[in-house]
Amino acid sequence: MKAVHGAVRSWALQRATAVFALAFLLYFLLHLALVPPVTPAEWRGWLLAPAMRLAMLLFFVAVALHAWVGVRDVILDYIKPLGLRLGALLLLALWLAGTVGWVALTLSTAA
Amino acid sequence: MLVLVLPLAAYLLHRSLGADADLSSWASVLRSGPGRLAVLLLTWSAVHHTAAGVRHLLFDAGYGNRYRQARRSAWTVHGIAIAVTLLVLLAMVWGSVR
Repeated sequence: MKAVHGAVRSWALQRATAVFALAFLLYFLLHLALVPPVTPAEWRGWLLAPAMRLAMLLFFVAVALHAWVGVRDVILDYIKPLGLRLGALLLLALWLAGTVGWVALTLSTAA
Repeated sequence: MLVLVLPLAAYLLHRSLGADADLSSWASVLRSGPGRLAVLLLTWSAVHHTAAGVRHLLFDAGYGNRYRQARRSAWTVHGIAIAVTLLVLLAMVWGSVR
């Protein structure tokens, strides 16, 4: 029963992160197309507004969680030896956490 | 592939917000042969993934669960992804002949 709860949680997480990421991406691309930031100042002004920093951080967190659920399932389905499996999961976790960490660092230090 | 390029997105964000960001050098990278190929491949992957994802959200919401509908929507996903990629290719060609 616990495994079933975990599966439902993964399912819900996968959909919630997908919807948020898609909404953000649509906004981002539409804004890019309709009001193209031409100068570096415009680009920074747009991306470094507090709400946009938060939205971008949330976007990367959402995509990382989404990728975690998705690739974890692929790893669990296709890599059976325990050592390899743990290694792959660890690599994935580092890969995603590293990306989010880098974005968080960039967004929190960019002035 | 989409997961593999995630750190690239972080890198681009980092560089674009840096003090020495130079947009014209970015444009030349994107206009190079490998740059264009990368844009096309990523467009195709991302659009296919998104369209297939929306298809599954519609399944969850109770739409298109009958076999024939599901077969048709699977092909629609391919069609959307290829169409958008061709549009990007067309925009590239148009941009370079103009």
